[in-house]
Amino acid sequence: MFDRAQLMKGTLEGCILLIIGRETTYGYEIMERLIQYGFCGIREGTIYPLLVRLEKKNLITSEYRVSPLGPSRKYYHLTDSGRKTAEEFAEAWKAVSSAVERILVEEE
Amino acid sequence: MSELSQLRTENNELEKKLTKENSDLITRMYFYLLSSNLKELEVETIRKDLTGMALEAQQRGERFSDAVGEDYKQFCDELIANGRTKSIPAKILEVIELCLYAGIVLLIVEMITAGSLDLTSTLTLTPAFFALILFAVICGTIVLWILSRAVWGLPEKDRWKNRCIAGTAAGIILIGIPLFTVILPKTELITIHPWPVLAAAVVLLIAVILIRQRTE
Repeated sequence: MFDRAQLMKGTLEGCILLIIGRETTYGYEIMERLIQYGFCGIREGTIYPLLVRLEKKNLITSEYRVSPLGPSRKYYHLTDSGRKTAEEFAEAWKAVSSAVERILVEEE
Repeated sequence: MSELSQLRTENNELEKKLTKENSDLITRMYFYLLSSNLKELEVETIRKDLTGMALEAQQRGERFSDAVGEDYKQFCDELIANGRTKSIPAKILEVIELCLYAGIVLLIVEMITAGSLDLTSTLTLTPAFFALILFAVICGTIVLWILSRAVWGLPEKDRWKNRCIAGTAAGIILIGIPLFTVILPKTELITIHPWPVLAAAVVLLIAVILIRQRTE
């Protein structure tokens, strides 16, 4: 059986970088955006370990800002290497998706 | 106050605002993460973030457990796999700190049992004393590891396995301590003035704690 979760895992990091690249944002908002774009079954618990990982790899940095809901909220923004990685991901994804698309068209 | 202590105090305050259910869950996660190879500062940062997430979930009228998913252990394991881990010097300092704690406690016990409590008295240490320090550190680490795994509750088959491991560990500790003093040679390894040694050990322990906090 095809492992959809595995495919998501591989692409989620790149998508998070692209979302953060557009504007400084926080975990819950990233999750909402991903759901809006069609990623299903995403929770904060899916996103947070990836954000920890991206921060460790120095692709994003974070700062706490006061939240309207009470506690301080962690906002993320891209570093220079994060921006570069996001661009590389976008390029790689375009190449992969167009290749997959061609295979699918031929099958039809 | 170091960054770590400040963050810890801040987290303790923040956690008071949580519901009992969320507070219990975060405490279990915190305990599990603390027993991992993650830096203490990283664990406190994660605790702050999780507490923030839980508080926001409360404000939205949602359950925090729905936000992180039902498999808490897997969630924590992902954090452990992705977070900043302790360096080798930090691990060495941690072991030194544990040895000093154990050494100080055992030295005080030895001073009391040998009646070497006045300032001019001397104390003779045997190989058993140093072996006991090592034994206490190893046992303490094993017990902490077992307890940190037990925070999630265990399936029935693992429950019995863990009870056996915990029972064996307790048995080894209970039998091991007196056994050390019997098995190991009574050779006099070193004679010390206990009070200056105790004072030096306490100073060294404080220094190690401060260095650890600075290197975090």
